[in-house]
Amino acid sequence: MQEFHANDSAQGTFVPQQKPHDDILIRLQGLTKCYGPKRALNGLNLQVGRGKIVGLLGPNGSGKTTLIKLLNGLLCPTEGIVLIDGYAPGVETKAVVSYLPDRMYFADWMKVSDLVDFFSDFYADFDRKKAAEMFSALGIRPLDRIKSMSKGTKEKAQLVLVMSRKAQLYLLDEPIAGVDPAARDFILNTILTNYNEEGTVLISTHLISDIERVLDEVIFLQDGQIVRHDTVDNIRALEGKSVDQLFREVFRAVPYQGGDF
Amino acid sequence: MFGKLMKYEMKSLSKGLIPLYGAILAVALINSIMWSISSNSPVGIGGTISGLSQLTAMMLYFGLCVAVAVVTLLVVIQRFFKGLLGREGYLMFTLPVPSWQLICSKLLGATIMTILSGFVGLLSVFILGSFSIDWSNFFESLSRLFAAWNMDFSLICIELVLATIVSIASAILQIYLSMCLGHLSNRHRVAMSFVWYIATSTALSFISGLFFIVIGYSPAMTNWITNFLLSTPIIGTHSIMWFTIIVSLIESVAFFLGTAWILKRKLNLE
Repeated sequence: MQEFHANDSAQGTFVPQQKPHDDILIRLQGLTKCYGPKRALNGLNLQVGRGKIVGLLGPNGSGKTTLIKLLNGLLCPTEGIVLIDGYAPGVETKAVVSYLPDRMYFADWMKVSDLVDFFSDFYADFDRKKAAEMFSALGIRPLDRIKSMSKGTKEKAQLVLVMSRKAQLYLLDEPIAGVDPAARDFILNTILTNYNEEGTVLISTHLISDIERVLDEVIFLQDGQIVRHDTVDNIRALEGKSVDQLFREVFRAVPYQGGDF
Repeated sequence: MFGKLMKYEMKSLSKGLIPLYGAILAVALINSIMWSISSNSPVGIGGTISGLSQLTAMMLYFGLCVAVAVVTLLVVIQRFFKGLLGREGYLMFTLPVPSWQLICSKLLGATIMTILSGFVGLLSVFILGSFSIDWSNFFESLSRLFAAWNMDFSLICIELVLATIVSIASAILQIYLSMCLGHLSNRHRVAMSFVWYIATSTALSFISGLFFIVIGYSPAMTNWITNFLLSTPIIGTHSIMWFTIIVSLIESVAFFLGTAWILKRKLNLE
């Protein structure tokens, strides 16, 4: 098994030379991440194409955030290969990946205008005008301080910056967790109306019913393993049920000792 | 890209430190004015009150000097710990910038601010004495003193400046490396950073101790060094300066490589 992965990885590294713009945007081979003795991800193999909205679905602790951090290069794999557009996470991939983390990542002293400057300084694909429009639609002024914003406003501000990029890959970690339903609609609409249509959006969440309507594909993650990767249309046709229903079946908590209630 | 990183680093550092610099210089000025008033006023009238306020101002000044040193250290630590290893790291490490540039920008910013803090301390001493001490006289005497020695001090000045910069950088990089090593643990990261700082310090003093013991055991070596320093004291002094600079430089490079390796290969953000 080990050797097989090693071979795969050797082939994987040749991908950019052969075909710089193939249809596969994300390629994972035997990806494993351990935190001490605990395996957060266990030998993931995955290919995701371009121009898709993909749901990364799974219960808490299934490894969603770990996978997104590995795609970002915020974590290094214990074993296996991560390739984005043919490159291992690094300067090349970070220039084309737009990441919304599950926490606030701004320095407290910054104003909205500082953030806009920051993003346009570092990301060539950042659209200042788009960001300004979205901020004014939200009633956020350029001189507003991050420190004095409410939690919900901070999250929206972060989303505006992330979605103002014309990225190849958007990695959105729990963008709708912890906000009220109205904000949820705003966030989903912002994502849908602003993403680069040649790029792929990967949204991790456990709130499936809210985002099911926007997804092209879903990846079910359980205990660090991919238990299902399919298009939403296929799931509906094959299973005759919604993704939400399927999710509830796959991840149904087994009652203690299997007893009935 | 590095220039842009520096721009934000300096902005961020100055937010914390510039107000403090202003405060210390202002208090030094107040002190100096009080000093001159009390030394000019006739003894007895208002002496106690001005004496008391002078004492308060002096205490405030010394408090601020300590504050500048402590705050500089804290800001240097925080800019790295919060700015790279904390939640701001999620922003910084997803920028299309290699991680060694992130370290360099932190290091350069921290070194500049440390030197600036030293300058502000020095400047405040001059302000403190601006009304009561005749500085022109002081500098005149100083230049007479140097003239009497009849030596060229430019080289030793350059060496002193270099040694200061390199030892500041190596001290900062040692703190960075300790924090990175501490960050490899999944729990008690702050405590582990302290442990690693103590460990690296101990390792350094062990190595330098070993070095001097080895030299001390060889009579030929000690004789040669003693003779060298006694026969050519000026070249000897320069040699000691360059030895210090090179040792600090080697330490800095080792600490930098360790930090860069951890941030590139073992990044482990919470």
